[in-house]
Amino acid sequence: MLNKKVAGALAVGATLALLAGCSGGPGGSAGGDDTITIGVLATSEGNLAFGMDEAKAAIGVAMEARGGTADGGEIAGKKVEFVYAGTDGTTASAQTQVRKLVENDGVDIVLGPVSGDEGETVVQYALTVPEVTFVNGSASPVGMTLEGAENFFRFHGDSAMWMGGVGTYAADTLGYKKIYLLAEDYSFPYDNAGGFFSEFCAAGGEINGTSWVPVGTTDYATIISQIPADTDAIYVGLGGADAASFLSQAVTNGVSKPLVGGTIAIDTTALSGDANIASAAVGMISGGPVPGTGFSNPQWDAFVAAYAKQPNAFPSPSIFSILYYTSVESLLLGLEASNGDLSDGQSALRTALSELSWDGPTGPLSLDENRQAIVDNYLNQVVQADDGSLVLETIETTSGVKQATTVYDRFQSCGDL
Amino acid sequence: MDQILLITLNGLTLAAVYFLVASGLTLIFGLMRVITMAHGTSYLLGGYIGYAIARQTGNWFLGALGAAVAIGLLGLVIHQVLIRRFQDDDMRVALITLGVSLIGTDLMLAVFGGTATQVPVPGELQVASLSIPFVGAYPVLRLLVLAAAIVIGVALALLINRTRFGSVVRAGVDDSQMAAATGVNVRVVFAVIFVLGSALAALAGVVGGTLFPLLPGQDGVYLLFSLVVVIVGGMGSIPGAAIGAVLVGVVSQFALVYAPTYSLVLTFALMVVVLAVRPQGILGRHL
Amino acid sequence: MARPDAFLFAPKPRGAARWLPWALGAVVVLGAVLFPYLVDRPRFWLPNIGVRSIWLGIIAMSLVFLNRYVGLLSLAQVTIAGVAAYGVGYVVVTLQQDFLLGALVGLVAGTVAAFLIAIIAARTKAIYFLMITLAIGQVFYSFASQSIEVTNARRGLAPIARPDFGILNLNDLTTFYYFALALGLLCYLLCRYAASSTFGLTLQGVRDSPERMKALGYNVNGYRIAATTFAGFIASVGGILLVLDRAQVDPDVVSLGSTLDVLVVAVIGGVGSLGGVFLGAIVLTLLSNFAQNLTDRYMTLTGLVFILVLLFAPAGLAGIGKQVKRFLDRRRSSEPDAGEPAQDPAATRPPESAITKGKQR
Repeated sequence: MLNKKVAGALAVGATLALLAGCSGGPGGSAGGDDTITIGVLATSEGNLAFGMDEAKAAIGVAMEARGGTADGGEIAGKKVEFVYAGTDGTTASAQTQVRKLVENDGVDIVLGPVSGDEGETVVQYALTVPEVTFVNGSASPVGMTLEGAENFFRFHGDSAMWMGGVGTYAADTLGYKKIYLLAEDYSFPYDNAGGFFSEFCAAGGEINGTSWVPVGTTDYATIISQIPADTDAIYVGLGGADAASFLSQAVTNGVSKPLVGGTIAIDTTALSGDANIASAAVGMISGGPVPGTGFSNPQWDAFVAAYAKQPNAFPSPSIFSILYYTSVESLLLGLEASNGDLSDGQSALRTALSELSWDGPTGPLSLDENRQAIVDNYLNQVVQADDGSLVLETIETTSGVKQATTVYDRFQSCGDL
Repeated sequence: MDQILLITLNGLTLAAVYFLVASGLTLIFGLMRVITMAHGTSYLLGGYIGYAIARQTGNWFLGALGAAVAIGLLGLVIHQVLIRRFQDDDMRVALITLGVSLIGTDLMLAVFGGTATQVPVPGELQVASLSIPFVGAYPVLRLLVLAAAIVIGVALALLINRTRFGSVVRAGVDDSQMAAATGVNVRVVFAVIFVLGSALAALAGVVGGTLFPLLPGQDGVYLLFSLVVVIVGGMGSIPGAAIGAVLVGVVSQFALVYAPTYSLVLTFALMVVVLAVRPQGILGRHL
Repeated sequence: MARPDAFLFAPKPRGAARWLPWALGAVVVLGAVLFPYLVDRPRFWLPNIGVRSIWLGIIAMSLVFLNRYVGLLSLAQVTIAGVAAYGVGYVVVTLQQDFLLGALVGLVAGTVAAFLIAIIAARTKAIYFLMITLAIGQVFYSFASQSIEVTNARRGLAPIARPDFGILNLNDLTTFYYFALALGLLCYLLCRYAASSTFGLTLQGVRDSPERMKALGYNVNGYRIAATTFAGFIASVGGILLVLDRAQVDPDVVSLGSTLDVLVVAVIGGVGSLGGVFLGAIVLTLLSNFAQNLTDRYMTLTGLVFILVLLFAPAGLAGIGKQVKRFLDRRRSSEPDAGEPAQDPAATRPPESAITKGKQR
């Protein structure tokens, strides 16, 4: 019996020691009054596990330009520290980690998160901690800036704005009359497709059928056979593996209609993959916040060059590093403009952020009254380079795209919009 | 009518992949009475290995062979180290293999990344199509997958029903203790079946990875679908797995057209309906 | 006959064994009560570790109850908790009604869901039951991800504000923590009571020899369904607490990952011990909050711990004390031939594996 008692005591003791050990971790309101602590929320597990590396690269670029590193430096005479918290892209882990940043690490400002699901959760949390300023990372649901969180700022477009200019282009320049809608059935494609079709329908276009498929649908053979023969084009509101799967099966099943892609339908990973998708993908247009190859302006060139030097960088920056960069750079500019003054509920910083206006790598940037950015948007097309590889080329830039403040749901026709 | 035939054919070709995964699972269960929750891991890892080899050598068959051998060996290790000892404790085997799949998911993400890949086939084959009466042009690739599943299914049935090894397996299924008493080395038979089942999952991974993308999360998806297939068809029965796969494949394709929003729900609901009527599955033995 | 490890309720305890478990329990409860005053940053520790451990523990406890007293390992307990959480969300967010009504609807919805699952699954046993509940859980997950009308699809239902009942203001974190702790204790006592009642004893009979019980005139299926429904009620309480903690409900609540979380909690804590789950829950919440400071491969670490526990300590943390004792006893008795201290793990494996065996034939 004695042994059992000892073992029980050991177990309890070990648990308490574990508690004490963790409790003694990174300090309370870290670093005292003169240090500005910025908590960074990014995905480090799951399918978007590279999100954390991309966020660090973006912060590295912004801080190295100021003589610091991705871990911190000095802004406006104040010490700045970055604390990183990884999530797996789900709301549960975003909730756990953002609470840990604010309550355990005592950060003054939160930068992030990556995914849309996480974004809507973080905004809800932001409403409960008005003393902390939140700068969005790359989450794009339309509704995030419409929740009335005065402490929440987004320095890039939302998912509807990412199709800004594409619907008009499809109707007016390409002359499409009828488009078939194929998209994944969740909030991002709703907003993304809503952005496209609200323009397309306003320009006299028509939706001649819809297939909202569950995320993770990999067999599109039957869907492809459903597409009416008289359609002018197919809208592909799929992302990642689903998009790659559709494109390769479009080749196998001999789809000959032009394609209009949602923002995440043709990213560089899909294009550089091994599946033979060229005959379906070439000519496909899409919209998004990231310009194609050959784009150039001084800020963009400087960013791309600095990004390439970061650890674990991709051959070219992904959408995540670009959005995190515009976000962190805006935040740092705001800190500089307000002299790093976080007193009085961070009001000086928030005023500075609201009034911020600067030329980012993807064009001029300013905020509207909902603390949502007004941005340039890019219309890209897939072209085959001389060496046979597929690349995106920017064919049109839409300036000053503003948020339309409509949160879209599953829709079946132009009349639903 | 044409439409319905086309959807059915799509369902059958999808069922071919489901059958290949599920046949390994049902084979292992049939003899050993344990369920390996790492079956989806074998599928995905097999697909990745096949992808890596086929990409290097440009030979699809080499990729399939390499994947089957590698995963078969991995299956042998898992069986000898983790499962053999708990042969009689099916719950513990299920949980331990679940732990294996947790680790597998994480390590595959670390090694192969989060983006989708596909096992390459020659470009001509990918676009080739065959004209089928009432259906029209149909991709040859999908027909080949269907044919491969039928060949493998028949071969498995022959192996179990017509060979000496098969009779040993069947004796083991009926009563492993009695089979052991008559001089059969049941342990070796168990190991062979486990290796065969794992290799089948890997082969399914290469075949499935040719039609559909390979990416993190597919391990869980295919584990679930193969569980549903064997539950519907009856655990331990190869013909049952074939019937279950066809039902699941066809229902999911029709649901995708007529009720896309709830297509996954309907596919799983099929299982609930079968269970309500016949708890042991369509061709399963009594519980 | 295989009998699950009974850590806190060993048969015929003698001497120290009678009071020690209670003393240990009292220490743990005391620690839990003092918890808000022991930690330096309660605004972090109370919700992230405290409350989350309690609702994870309650859901895992419903799983353990079914496993220990009925011999069924259910992977649908998270789904049932999720149904309850969605019930609250639907009433509070969609219908704009009071939280109390929501909690009532949630409890009823979760319990009814458990009853329906039981009707489908209870005719099967052991490994079939595991697979079927896993698949049913996925049915609900795909439904929750798709149905805009009921669950608001992936966006989920938010915000679900914590209510203020005057003297019991759940917006106050410390009050909320004690509320959760009280619920956790109540659920534990309820499970203990159910287990030691006639109902519980009959259940154990059904678990150990269903044929004999059937011959004695017991409705074996009926008992299984009743037990699953009862466990569903406990899981629903966990679901209500979950929704209070998270202030929202979305499909992630019922995803495969959440199911595995609860299974990990149950296995690490000990699938044979009702109280041990809370230990498992604390381990998991600490890991999920802090493990990334140590390693990038958090899931691999969790998986390894999970497998090691299954291989070498099937009764979980709660059973380790007993296992150490058994090991030491054996050492002592075999002291004369101490030449072979390295024992085959299979031999040290306790005869009564905590995971209820359920061979099909």
